[in-house]
Amino acid sequence: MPSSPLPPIPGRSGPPAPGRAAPALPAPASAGAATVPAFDQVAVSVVPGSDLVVRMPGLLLVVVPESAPPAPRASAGLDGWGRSPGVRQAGHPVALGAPGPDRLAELVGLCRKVSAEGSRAPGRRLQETLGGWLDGQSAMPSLAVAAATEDGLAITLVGSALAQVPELGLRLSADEGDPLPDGTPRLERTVDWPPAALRLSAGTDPGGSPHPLADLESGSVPGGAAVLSPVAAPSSTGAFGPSTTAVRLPPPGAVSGPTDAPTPPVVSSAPPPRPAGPSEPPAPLPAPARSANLLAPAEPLPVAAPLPVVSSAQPVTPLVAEEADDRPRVHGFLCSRGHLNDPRVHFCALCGIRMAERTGVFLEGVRPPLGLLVFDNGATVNLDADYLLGREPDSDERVLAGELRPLLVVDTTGGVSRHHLEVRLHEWDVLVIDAGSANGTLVAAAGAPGWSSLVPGQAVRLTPGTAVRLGGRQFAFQSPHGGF
Amino acid sequence: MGQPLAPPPVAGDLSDRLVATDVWTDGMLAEHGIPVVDVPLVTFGGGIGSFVTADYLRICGVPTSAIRVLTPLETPWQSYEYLTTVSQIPRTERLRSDSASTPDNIWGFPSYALREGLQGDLKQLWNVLVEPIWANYYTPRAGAAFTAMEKEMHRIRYPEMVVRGQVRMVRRRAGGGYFTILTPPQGAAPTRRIAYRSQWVHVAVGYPGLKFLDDLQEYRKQTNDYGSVVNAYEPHEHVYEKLRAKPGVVLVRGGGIVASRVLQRLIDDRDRFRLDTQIVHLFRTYTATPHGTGILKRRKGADGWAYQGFNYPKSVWGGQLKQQVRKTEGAERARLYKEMGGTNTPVRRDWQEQLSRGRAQGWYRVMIGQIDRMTKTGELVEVAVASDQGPQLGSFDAVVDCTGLEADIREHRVLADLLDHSGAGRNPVGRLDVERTFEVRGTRNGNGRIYASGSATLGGYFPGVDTFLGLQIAAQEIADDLHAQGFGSKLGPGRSTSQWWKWFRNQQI
Repeated sequence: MPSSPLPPIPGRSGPPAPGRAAPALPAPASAGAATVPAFDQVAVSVVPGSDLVVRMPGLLLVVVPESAPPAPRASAGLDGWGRSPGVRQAGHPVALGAPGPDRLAELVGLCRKVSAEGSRAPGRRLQETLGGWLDGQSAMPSLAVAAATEDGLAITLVGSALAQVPELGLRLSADEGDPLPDGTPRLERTVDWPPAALRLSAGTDPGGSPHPLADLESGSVPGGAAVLSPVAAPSSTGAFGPSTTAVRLPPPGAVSGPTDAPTPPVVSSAPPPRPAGPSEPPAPLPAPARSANLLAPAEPLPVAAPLPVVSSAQPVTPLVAEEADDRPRVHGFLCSRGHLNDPRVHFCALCGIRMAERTGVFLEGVRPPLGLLVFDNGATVNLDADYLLGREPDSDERVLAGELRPLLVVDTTGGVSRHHLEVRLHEWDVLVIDAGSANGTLVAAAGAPGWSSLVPGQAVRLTPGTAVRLGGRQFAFQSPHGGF
Repeated sequence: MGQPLAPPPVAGDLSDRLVATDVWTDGMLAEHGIPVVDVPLVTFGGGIGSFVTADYLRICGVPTSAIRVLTPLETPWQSYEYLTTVSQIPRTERLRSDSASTPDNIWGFPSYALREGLQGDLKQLWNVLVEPIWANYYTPRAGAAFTAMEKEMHRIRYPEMVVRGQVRMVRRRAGGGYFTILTPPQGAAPTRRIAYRSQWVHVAVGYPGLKFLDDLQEYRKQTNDYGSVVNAYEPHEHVYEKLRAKPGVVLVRGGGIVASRVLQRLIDDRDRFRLDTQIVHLFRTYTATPHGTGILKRRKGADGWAYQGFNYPKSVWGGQLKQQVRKTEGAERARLYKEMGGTNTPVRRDWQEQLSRGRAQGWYRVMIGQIDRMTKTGELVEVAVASDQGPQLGSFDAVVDCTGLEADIREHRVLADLLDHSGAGRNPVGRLDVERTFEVRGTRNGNGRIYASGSATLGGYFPGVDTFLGLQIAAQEIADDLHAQGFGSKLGPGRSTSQWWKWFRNQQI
């Protein structure tokens, strides 16, 4: 390996600054990005200290906590406690932008937001978002952030922060970059993943090495420095198995949990070839994952208290409980069992009861998924958000802004544009809009005699069974809400 | 756009006081500003039950002005066609109905098979001659039934009788007769409700609704995934679409005709597109042998299925079972219903051939048991089954639930209102209790009567009410009873013959 694996990637090393000093580190002989460990699989060990180390999917942050403790409030009216230590400072409001726990929380919140939106490589977006935020701050405490990009790390250093690879003698400090408006040193850089441990520190590095078994999987802990190991953590120490980081989609709403199990965003690979001949008797199915023999003597189970009797009656209007989440809301009719439905349907999509059983209660609630896109390779996409389909949907600004969810469509014929087609949910309708693609988009409603092409920018409503073709790929729209 | 949750009292709307009052006077409605429309007979529901009854009465000489059909449906068969289409019986496929059960023709002649024969398909004529011994029962195509009904609808000027809207309740009127409260579509009328004051009311609201099984609803609520676990009575074309693009394993649950149709669709697709679809079929009750309570009441059974040509033994429409049930009461009647009930499916040669091929080649396998729980694992659904071989766990690309649980009649609010406020009761099977004339027992009010037909009355003196022929038999009983009260002319031999010729010449009446 080259001895200096921390070069800036050409064109990606932050805003170009005229007259800027040449990188302190020479360029490597070869790109080191051939085998990049997934960021969430590597171990992060924390060196004891008084700063704060925060790890979340895709990024690692070391920051010096606020320099001054908050002034105690004046304790007027509390007799017997003596003079309040805060009285001295009363009347001297804290300077705007001075470091404080609020600002630290804002910083962590910012990172968390980008981490949640940015799939497994939030680095570039974090650098942009953080850069913008830092420009508006003054007297920023020192901080160091390393975040994963597709092929390396995006590093931001502020103040006296340092990024070092001690084994290779590499060192980056904030002094090498563009300072913040108030003169605080700041460096933004995109680098290759070093082949040795990377040590991030914000303030004064306490020195010493971390405990060999220390590993921060996620969360915020006090520490003086964080050491990012160059290899994936062994499964015995790291709970971040490969499956947990395979593909991460932004959750559909603020409410996360098992209900928001994301759809795989990549509709990759061309459709599988059809079997040429008549189908052979297939190979036997794999055995069930778990099975037990009733004939074998069963181990007696401990006697448990009887479960409460659950009546089959279902509570009406569970909508109140869902007030808190910020998923899109629409107006619709409630079925007699309290499920929100499209005003045009005759049967509830969730439970099947006739919608006629209740006078139309027209109200607003959380919109259920409006249907599915079934691709020609069998992949299905649940329509619970707006999507942008294309060859590189990630690069669209509306995707970066979180307005559209990216859906990568891989097409070997090359007929799919980078930003090809928008699928938007409007009230209870699913609309497709050609995003100005090079080769256009074709649609055919169920039973239509042929394809018709979309006018770019013009929305067309999909009816169940409509087929849509972009480049060499095709999908069909299907909906459990019935054909109307 | 949205309206407040508790709207202020609007002129022409119901009030709590009115809803709590069992018997209404004309003055109460006037106080509330609800307009009243007078008409001798109101039928609501507006499906095939209302259509067949209106048809019968029109043929008995009742003018269109004397009948009002209150319905939210566009056409009488709209709801029925929706359910048959999504459960894989589109217009080109065959229903499970007899040749002579013709809802467009009260005489049952010419039958569907004869009509197909007259159009040149002589094979169908031969079929009805030799069925069921030498051939499977003839059944009409869904499309044939719908187009024939459309023709009859215009012949009897049915659209003139239709008022669009949703019926909220029926209440007795002080002094005789009833008020039927209609909620017209928003903006269609100046008041929120309209009352129809009539001497007779006919209730034909059909199935109160389906009830998807709790495990299916639970799965959807937890995963927000409406695509992988579906009920056969809802649109689920995406399941077939997905299997066409990518080979997969499907779990089919249920042993009725819908399960048969879903399996046929899966295997048809498998053959046509040369797919490698694997099917696991889950029976709750596995029928291995012929079964029944007596030598004359045997029902065929094999390979898990209980076989029967139609959904009831044929003698319920005009044979010994009809006679037997007509004379029984209470628990005895409930027992008879239980005997002839149960999930079953017709024997059809193409289905037999497909399934035996699947068994031989190993892509159709059967399990016995019930689903414990379903969880989403990636793109697949992991299903835990408590089977007769112990607990089993499998992953499937799709689960198609072909069990149709019917909701209780109380889930239909008009029926619930009849039970709560108008004196209606339940029969031994738990549905609406009707007399032999299909009058709802306990609701008579002065000179007024309420009749009911269709699925809501299952369990009465006549079984098979939820079939085409059952609706016609109910319509006949109702028309006879109305004639006895002076409404409509008697359908004697003369009128019947002349009316048949009018039907045959498609002459508007």
